[in-house]
Amino acid sequence: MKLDGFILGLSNGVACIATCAPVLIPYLLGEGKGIVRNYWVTGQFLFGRLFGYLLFAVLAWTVSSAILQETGLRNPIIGIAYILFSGLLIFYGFFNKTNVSCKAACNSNKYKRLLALWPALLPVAAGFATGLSFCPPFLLAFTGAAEQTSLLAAMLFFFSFFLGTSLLFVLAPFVGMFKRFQVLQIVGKMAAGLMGLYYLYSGVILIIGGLKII
Amino acid sequence: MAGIIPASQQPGILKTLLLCLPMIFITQMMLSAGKPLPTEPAGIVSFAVTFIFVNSIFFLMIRTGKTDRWRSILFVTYSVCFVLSFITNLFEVRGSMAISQANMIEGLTPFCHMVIPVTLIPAALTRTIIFPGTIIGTWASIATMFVLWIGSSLALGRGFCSWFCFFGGMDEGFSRLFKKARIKKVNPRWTYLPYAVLLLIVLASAVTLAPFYCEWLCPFKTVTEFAEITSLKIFIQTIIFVSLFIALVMVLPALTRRRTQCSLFCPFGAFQSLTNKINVFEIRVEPDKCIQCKKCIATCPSFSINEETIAKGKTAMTCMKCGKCVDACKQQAIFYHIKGAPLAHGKPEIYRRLFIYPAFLFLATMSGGYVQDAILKIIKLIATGSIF
Amino acid sequence: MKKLKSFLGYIWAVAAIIIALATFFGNDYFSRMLAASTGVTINPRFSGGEIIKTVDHGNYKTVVHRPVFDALIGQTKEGFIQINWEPAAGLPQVISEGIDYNGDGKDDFVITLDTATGKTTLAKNNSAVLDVGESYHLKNGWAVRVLLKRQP
Repeated sequence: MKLDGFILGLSNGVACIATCAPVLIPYLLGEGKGIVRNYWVTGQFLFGRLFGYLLFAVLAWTVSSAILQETGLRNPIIGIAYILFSGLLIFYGFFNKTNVSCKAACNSNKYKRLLALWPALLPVAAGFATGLSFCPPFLLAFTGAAEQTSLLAAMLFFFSFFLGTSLLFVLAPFVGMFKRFQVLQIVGKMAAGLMGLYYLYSGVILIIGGLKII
Repeated sequence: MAGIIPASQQPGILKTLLLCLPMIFITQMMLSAGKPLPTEPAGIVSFAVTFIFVNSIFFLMIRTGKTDRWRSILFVTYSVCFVLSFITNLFEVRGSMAISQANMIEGLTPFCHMVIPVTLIPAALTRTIIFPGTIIGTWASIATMFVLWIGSSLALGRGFCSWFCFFGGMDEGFSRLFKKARIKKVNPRWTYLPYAVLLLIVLASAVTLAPFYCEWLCPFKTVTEFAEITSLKIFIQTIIFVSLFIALVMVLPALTRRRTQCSLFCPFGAFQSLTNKINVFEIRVEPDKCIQCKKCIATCPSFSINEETIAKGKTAMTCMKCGKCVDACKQQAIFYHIKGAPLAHGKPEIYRRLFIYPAFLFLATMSGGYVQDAILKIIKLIATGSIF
Repeated sequence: MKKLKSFLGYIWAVAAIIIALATFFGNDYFSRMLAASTGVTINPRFSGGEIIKTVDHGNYKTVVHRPVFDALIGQTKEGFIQINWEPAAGLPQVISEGIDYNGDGKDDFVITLDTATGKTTLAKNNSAVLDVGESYHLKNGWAVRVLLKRQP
């Protein structure tokens, strides 16, 4: 498992679930339909998220190996991306009070029209849509996957990210975490901000290393 | 006068002395560590000064009814003496504050309570402690510190941070440097940062099987010991911890008059807050007596009391039980309390005494050795020109 | 009920004093009990792992620890093996020793250590041997960690 991917996902997941769950859970699970069906629906939701993340892992790896590698400036470019996105993540974690992108994905009219045509796909599609919010943790995860040395490693990185974001979806019903949403959201975002500092350091090291090679 | 029990309720000198007798007896045993009393003049002086100092503090706590006013004097002295004693011992044994990889392999790193949260998951899964120390048999061995932590958590909860921690007195001392705060408003969101730091270091330590907080973040390495700078990575780690010490332990406490390291960063403190849930002692507020002067809110070093908690009649779970709000409240609306005991028509002074007995025991015992050693070294320095 | 709660609260508060006393007076006993009952040891990444072999050279001995690939769950792909030489007084200027850590009768690597400077050189005979790490000048000897790749 890739630790930094997992922690990015975990720190993001706390913020994600706090924003998305109050909208999604009642919408997806409904009432009185049984625990087995609820977990089946949650499983489909999580599958949709995983599918989306793995697609982006492939995309990240392709961008890195097909384009960046050819330029000979792979490390400095990824280092710059780390620094830029880590700045966003630090702002997101410590100073930004809103959490827009997740809400936007949940409430998008485009998704609603699509899902009206194919309601059986609703949980999978909802998972796919909520997973692909381009918030700073996701952008850093994309860059992190691009830095990996193989396609498998890139997919493993995003799989770790998925585990981090999804852990709380699985645990939430057991610990009644919905009671202290706002606290979890703040802690999660601050943890994400701290990860941003780690990526800032990684970016600087990559640039120094990349410059040495040139 | 704020916080002082009314003159009619203050115990007389004789009663105060009787109440202090158990503490006098126990501190005598603790300071001598079960050995015969010193015979050389420097040893006698350091023992006597420490003994009188510690017991005077307790006497004044009982006599005046003020807790934090006197606790803080001993607490700050403790941390200063701890640093003095620790650093001089390092120079005596090793010739340097820096610890080498060789020292770590030999298990010569003293274990400190800050590491405890990150050791738990690896210990549960691998039955090993991820720290380059010794389990038992040396000073500051891992088992010894765990026992001290367990005992103090059961007895005091997060009162640990105001009555045990040898680092807390540093930012407490700097927080009392100026009479007025230069930065009066601190966004309450920052009080959640310690939990974010705790989350990250626990996960990072579990996956890397190394004490992440010690390696990357602990500001107190600045005044204790730190890894020898042998690589760029260690150099960056050194910059980080020195910067955190200057910012969180020195500058921000002085500007805000709060314990900013302890309440806005320390992950051990966040972890220790959980023990307040199982501890019998708490600070309570009587909303009927409260006149909304907000002096307690302005004075609390850990941001643990605000309008919301006052309305509920209590402090937040981050309360360090230092007693500053209790001393500050002119209406005597804030008081120490024992869970289960009556609130209205209760006996706040009895509750306070039942708390300060175990609390002061921890403080006196932990500080006594370091205060004695520091005084001894100062005497040696004056007498011989060398502390060794 | 209120009186019972109050009584229990007071008992618990008094118990705090006893806990405080027991923590200090009984520290030695409780720490030994805690160490023995949990059976925890120092993580091999720091301690070097258990000793699997000692070679007596007369004036000094070579202590070979087990290869360390310990992870939180399972094992890591890369790890190390620690070799100690002690006591310091009996060590020659240059130590050169072949180490067989997997018990197949063949030396997996030959490590050479200059005890005056701490400089090490490594001759690999096994593809699982990666590199030599730092040498460590201990209180009573020297130690070296050789980096290894885990073989299935």
